[in-house]
Amino acid sequence: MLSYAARRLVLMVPTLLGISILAFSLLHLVPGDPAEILLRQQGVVPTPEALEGFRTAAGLNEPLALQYLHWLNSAIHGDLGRSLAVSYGRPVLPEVLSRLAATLELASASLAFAILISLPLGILSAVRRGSWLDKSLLLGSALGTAMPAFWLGPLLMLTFSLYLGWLPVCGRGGLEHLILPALTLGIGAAALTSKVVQAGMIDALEENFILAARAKGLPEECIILKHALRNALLPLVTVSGLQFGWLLEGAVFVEVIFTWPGLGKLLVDSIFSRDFPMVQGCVLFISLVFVLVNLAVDILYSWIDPRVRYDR
Amino acid sequence: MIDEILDILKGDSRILLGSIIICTILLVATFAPLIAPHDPLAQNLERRLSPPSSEYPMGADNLGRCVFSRVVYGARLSLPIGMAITGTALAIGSLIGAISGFLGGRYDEFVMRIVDVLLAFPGLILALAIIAVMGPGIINASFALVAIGWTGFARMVRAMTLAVREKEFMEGAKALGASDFYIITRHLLPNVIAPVLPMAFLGAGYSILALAGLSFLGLGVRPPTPEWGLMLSDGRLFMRSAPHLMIFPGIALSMTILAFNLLGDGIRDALGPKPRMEA
Repeated sequence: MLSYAARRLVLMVPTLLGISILAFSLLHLVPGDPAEILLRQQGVVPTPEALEGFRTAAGLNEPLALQYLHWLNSAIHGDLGRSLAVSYGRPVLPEVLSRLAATLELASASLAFAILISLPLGILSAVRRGSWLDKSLLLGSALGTAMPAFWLGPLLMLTFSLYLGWLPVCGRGGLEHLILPALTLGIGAAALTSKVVQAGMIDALEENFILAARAKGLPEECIILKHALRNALLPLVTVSGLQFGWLLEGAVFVEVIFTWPGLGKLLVDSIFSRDFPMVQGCVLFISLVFVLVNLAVDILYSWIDPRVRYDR
Repeated sequence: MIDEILDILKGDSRILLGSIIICTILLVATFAPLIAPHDPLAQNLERRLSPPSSEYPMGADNLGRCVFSRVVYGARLSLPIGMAITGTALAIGSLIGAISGFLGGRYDEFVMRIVDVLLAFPGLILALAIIAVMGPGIINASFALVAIGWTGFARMVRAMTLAVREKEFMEGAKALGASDFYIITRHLLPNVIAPVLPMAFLGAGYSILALAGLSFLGLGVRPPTPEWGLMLSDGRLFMRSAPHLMIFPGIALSMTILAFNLLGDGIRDALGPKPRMEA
């Protein structure tokens, strides 16, 4: 188990390096001279002297590879530079970390909602195939995957906040602030996960060990919940990991719609204010979360199903 | 009625329904000037935010523009651009994947490492990063979506290539002295492309969705161009007094994505649970 986890960790290194190179290149790919962009952003007139002084001070005269190593070194030591936006001027890392918590709260709540909804739906619709539940799941998941979060979100807001007045319109606070954003993001996720649970249950229920369990005279609930469900959970674990990336994407829209102070909203705001260090920080951390979640899922998977460790 | 819809969602009629919806939208896009009752940019400030009526079938927006005409003209933008983005990503990805799998060795290793890194980003986040560098706008947004879209195709075509590479007809072509380029374009690609088809339809749905999303954020299509994502973004500001501004573009967008999903899923299942090799 541990050696598998260690091997997966080592395999992650090239991916992490690749992510860091891409994040680093952001500023250097911007058309124009990075020194001039950075100076203008600080409100300094880019005279040749000012540019030269800035280049020397910021190390922009060094070869790119060396600049990358310096950048990586400071990044590893927790220094991602300072925000260029007028109102900030603050270090990037603390800002990104505080926003990260909000995004993780939103994404986890959405995933939890999706799993909580899809387990009973998937199990029941697999057990009672052809029932109205099975049919509505089919219809619901087709619609759920086709409705963009940036349409569903405003519709939910209109219904539950503006017309019914049950929930706050936007912002982050108590549980009541979390419900609508998590629903918006979770409904799309549930559309997929419930189909995965259903398909997994249908496959599992056709296996020989279910026949054996029935022949033994085990009660039906025990067969479904203990024997079939355990096997149906495997694909759900994998899909949940991949879903997390999708949730991080969707979170960008949901955070903008509900003014949820997360990484996605910070990323979009930073793009508009051309705050490149902040964009770098957001991209770096969102990808990092995605990679780490998938690592966790792989390890979890090998724990649930030990065969995986030998296969690879 | 409901049962018929369900049968379609379950069975192979998904391909039929998906094609019908897409063809309808294509027709609407083609004949937009004949279908739209008003100029999509013409403002009639007296009718601003007015609800659906016989003159304005889907109401008028905050500048008094006809929402129906804008939804109709929106199809002219979303559908072709979404399909072009996916088509380009498909062409680039298939070519790189096929070359990579065909040549093998270090080149393959190198290309697949790049693909792995790109796939390690949530797609849209990478697209946003690219737009941050290049600036907003439809061209840059489309470029960003191609840049994130090709990797999936490359990985799949490479996997198929590895399987086809050892077949006898490949040996035969080589023995006849055909060049690598000829073998890849004439023998390899036609044999690996069929299983990628469902992915392309699902990808087109995603591209349309992502483009609308970027426009919604203000990073894609610029106003006053009639585009569904942009209309949703504008309509959101008036959703209490004029919910129709948000409802109709949303329906158009969702129907389009649904159609591509149906088509992709249908074709995937029709090709069999495992990608078929002898297509």
